[in-house]
Amino acid sequence: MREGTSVTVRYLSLIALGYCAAILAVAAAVQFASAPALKTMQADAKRSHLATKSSILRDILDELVLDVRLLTRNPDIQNYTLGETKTSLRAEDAILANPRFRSVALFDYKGRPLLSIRDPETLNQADRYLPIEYVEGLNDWVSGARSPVPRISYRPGDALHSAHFLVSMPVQRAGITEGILTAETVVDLTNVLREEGDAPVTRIVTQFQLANQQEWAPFQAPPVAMEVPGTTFSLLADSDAQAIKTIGQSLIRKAILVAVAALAVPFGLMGVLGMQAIVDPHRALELSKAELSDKSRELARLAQIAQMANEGVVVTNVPGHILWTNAAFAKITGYTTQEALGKKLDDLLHGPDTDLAVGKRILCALERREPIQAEILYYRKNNTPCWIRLSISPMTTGQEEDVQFAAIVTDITEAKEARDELLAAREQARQQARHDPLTALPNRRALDDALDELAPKTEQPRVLIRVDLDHFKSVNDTLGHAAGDAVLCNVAEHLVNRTRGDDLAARVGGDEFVVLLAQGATLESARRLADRLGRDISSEMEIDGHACRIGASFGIASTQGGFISNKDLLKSADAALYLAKEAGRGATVLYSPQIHTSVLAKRTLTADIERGIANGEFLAWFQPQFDAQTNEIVGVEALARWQHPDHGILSPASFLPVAAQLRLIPDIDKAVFAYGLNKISAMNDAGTPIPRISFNVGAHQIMNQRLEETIKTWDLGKTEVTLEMLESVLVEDQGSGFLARLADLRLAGFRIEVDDFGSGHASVVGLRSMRPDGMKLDMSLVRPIDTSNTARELVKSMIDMGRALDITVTAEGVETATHAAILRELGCDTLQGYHLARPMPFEKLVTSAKVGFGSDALVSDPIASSAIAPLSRNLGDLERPRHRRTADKHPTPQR
Amino acid sequence: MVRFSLKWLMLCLALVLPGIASSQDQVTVYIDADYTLTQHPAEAIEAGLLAAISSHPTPANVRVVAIDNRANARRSNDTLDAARNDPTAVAVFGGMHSPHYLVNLEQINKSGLPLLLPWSAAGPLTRGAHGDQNWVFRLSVDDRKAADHLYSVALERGCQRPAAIAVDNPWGRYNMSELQKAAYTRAQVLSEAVVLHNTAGERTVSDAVKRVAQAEADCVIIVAGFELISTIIAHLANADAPPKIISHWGILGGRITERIDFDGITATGLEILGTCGLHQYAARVSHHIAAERHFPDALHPREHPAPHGFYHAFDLGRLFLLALDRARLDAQWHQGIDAQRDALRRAFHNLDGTYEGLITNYQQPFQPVTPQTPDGHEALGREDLCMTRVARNGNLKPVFERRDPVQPDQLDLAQHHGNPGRD
Repeated sequence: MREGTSVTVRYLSLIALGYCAAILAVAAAVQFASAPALKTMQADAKRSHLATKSSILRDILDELVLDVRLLTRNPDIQNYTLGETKTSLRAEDAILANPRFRSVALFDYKGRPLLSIRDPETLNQADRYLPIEYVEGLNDWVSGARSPVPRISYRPGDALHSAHFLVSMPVQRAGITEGILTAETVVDLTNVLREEGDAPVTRIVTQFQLANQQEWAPFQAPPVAMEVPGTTFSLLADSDAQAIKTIGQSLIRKAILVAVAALAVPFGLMGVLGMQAIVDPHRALELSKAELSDKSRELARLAQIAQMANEGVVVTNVPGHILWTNAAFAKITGYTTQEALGKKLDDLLHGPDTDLAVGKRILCALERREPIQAEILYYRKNNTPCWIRLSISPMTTGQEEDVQFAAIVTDITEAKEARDELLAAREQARQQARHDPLTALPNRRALDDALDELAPKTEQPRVLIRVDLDHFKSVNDTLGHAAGDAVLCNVAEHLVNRTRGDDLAARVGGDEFVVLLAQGATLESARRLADRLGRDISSEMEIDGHACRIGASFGIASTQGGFISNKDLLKSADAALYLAKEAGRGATVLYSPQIHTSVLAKRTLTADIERGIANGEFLAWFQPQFDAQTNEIVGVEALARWQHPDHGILSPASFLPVAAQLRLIPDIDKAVFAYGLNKISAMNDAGTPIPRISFNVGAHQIMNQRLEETIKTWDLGKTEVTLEMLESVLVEDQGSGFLARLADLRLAGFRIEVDDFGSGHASVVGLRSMRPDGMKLDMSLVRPIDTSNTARELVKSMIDMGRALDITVTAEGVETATHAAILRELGCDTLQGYHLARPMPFEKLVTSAKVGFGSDALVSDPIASSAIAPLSRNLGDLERPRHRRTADKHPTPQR
Repeated sequence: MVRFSLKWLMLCLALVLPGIASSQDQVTVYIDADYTLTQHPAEAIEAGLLAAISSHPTPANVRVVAIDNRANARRSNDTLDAARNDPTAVAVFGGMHSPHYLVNLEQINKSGLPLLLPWSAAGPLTRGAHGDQNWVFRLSVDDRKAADHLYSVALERGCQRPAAIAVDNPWGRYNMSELQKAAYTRAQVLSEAVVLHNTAGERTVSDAVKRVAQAEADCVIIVAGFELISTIIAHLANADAPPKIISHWGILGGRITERIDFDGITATGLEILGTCGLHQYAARVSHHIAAERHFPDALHPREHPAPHGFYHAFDLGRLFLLALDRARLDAQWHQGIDAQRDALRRAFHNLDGTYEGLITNYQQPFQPVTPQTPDGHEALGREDLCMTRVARNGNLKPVFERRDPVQPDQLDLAQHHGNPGRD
């Protein structure tokens, strides 16, 4: 190495010496030849210099103007100028985002300051411009007398070659100026105004200064001036004689530099070629001597290691003939080195069950000179089989004809047997865990595994069919579980017959099946499959001599279209199946973007309802009910509302349909019930008792045996609790248990009323047998009474019927004064509706109870003689409630 | 002789009193509106107020000063200041834009000067304070109801995937959140919701329209001013399957047929929100004809691009004059301008009787705003919202539809207890 380094250094030193000598010669020649041309160049250089400087200064100013223009066009700055005060911070941020300016000020259309942002480092510095200069030109811009081109003012800076610029631009909207934005900045013009060396001195002057510069400038020669386009100032250059020398020296230096560059090429070439031809071969010879010595030592060590190893080692040539083996090879195979030499390994160890394909693979790898690892069944010398792991690697010294192979031979007979046993056991357990024992179809776990294996996105869409049997429960109930199992097996058989090998048909629940179609299936093919399966399943079966017929509903989902992913297939098909069931069974529904949007929206609303129930957001509003003759309040009806944290008060129409589907109605009922009783109790305590509170209830609440206990939680004083039920509930649920329960509730002090009477299930016989305390006429009956005689007669007959059965009659939906007058005349007992009072929150109920339920309609109603009285009396003064079944039943009041 | 003397006395009073009133009791009303960028609503409002004054049964003795705010909230604020400092100004009539008053609402309610709004629709304007602290009165569309109404109209027109585009200012953003609430309460979502800056250019609008198309919206509800809406409609009308457009009334800042050809407008089935003045023409024809006599240039409000401004300003102007008559009889009327303004405010809360207006009948149209009566300073309700379409000549035509009298509040648990979601 040292010898090689020494040769290189000597050689390169010689080249460098020659190069330097050549440069010195060229420099002397240039210096002598260039003197005469320098003077001519000086004059041209000055003019060119000023033009360049002017252009550079204009570019700098254009950048400033562009930045200011961008600010004036910033939407937040515009909006703030126009008075949207909430954008002030964003306007400030827009200004601060450009740190170029020393200060930026914004003024409105009258020149009043809106914003002023200054660089903190300049706060103690004096202002360069007068306040009037900041808004100069504003009135002309606002009036349109001046076009919206920027104004640029100049002041010299404190530092040498610095300049203060003030740029003013109008802030416009739709071409109308509504304010002005001014930006002040200091620009370091050292690079523009002055250069070291051959450039003349340059200054910025205003028009006023230019006109008077003859008196001021102590130059030896007249200066050269050039206006800066688009401004009111110019650039001025002096003509100092020193500039000539500066320009000449620069020229000579350039010529010398050119010569240096030109001579570098041949000398460099000489150096590179000389290195390749002389120095490099010398160094290579020295290196190869050292490598040869190292490799000899390494080979001796490797041979010793191979002999001592526990694994067998075989060295062969390219055709596969054995060249060398170690002692471990003999131990494993039974063949000594002498017995193995010259033979091929495969020929030596081959046996009847040896896998020819593996042998062939090994041979191919050897031919390609590639390493290979393989496990193969061979036979020892004594013909006993053994499993061998071969790890074969080529060995080469870099010469193509000098390739040999080294094989590590390991006996893995015992390990392989153990491994095979374990795999077999696992597979058996896996199969058992993944199949349904009754139908032998893949089970839910197998389906989940298949779905998990689907990549998050596949190139082809996947389709999944959800199958649910219709009327299966009746088979179990009527023919027994054995028959039910037979039906399920029959259905499984249909699924297997109709699906392809790549499809996955699984049983996932009692009577529920899923088919995951193979890649390439489309929605149309899935629909056809569903139709065929539907026909198969619904065909009549004979089970134990009994004819049996069931049906099936199908929900189909696909990732085609991209609005659901593979992981959503099952639940989307589930949602489609649900709709198929709702449509009346035996149907097939495809999950569509519309269903998907609806599902997402419903999920959001569902989560909100569940949260709302947990957080006590469901409460009651109260709608007063009034005596038809006296206009006194006789009670309130509690109506469910949802106090939503984001959307305020929501009416039942917005949440009840979804709540009903989720079976959350009972929880909502419970919350409304508790709220209503709590508030009425509070009104009693405050001395403004309400005679009666009504709740809308369903069958489940009636049958709740804890209802009486719940009421007792609050002290309601003399306030009655009325339970309003739809007439359809009372008609449908007239079992003996239900009627007995109603009787118990009456004995406990509850009133029972039929709600929406006349809405479709009107039954006089039902009323007569049930004998509720009151009935409420449906608003569809009340609404037309002011325009239809028939409607009026119908309502009258219902009121008369109530009178005959000693049932109080309440009219709902009283919307006008005319409604109220007619109902009063017809003898209705109680009125409820918007004309009298709307449903109101508890706070308003309290206020109205104190000051009166002042209704505009009633005030202006010529028939009503007084406003509705406030609740200022004790309940003891009120007419006693009309309980039937009590000993002191009151006679029907005179109307 | 007594009768003769009485007759002469009455005649003298009739001659003298108006003169006394005119010389000692003249009041001023300011109009703060945009006469430059969107001049049609401003013209209509001014015409409505002047018509109300000239048609008042007794000499109103009201001077009207109209000032152009050029859609600049600071100019608007300066006008309010000028009115506040004018010792004869008893009220200000506002113009089209809501943001002007929204940014200064607190100051307006502390000013002690009634601000009467015949157009600005933003919900919070009339709900900025309670009781006698609230000085803002409105006879116009109320955005608290408008968004839900627009969404209902979209559904009534058969739309299944409504989208919304709104301008990026407090008015637009408020209406967008109300539209999202309207969808939510119906267990639905907007298929797309886009907010655009007022100065959005062709490319930005085109990208927004592409988003709407990709969402497969069959209806687009737009809340924006005239310029932006024109650009949006132009792009939507050129789509392969133009969605139906249901617009808030910001579009009435100009005449849309001057920007887009009629066939394009027809392709979108454009409907525009407003109040029911046009719809009530036949039912109240005598009132309309009487009012129209005072419309300038012998035109009809129905031929004006922004007729609602006339109807609202007329009705509000008449209510103002009724309140003014009452306030002039107040015991504190002669105790200075602050007392006069307060008397006017109290008179607004105590307008009894029924005034038959151009849009509806008003019975106690205003009452003190409280948490329980947030609509106290709203003279119109949801039932007064109506939709219009555009005729070939650019005039608005009413769209008549059946009104369902059943209120949503009437639905309650009773409807669902009979059918608790069985399988």
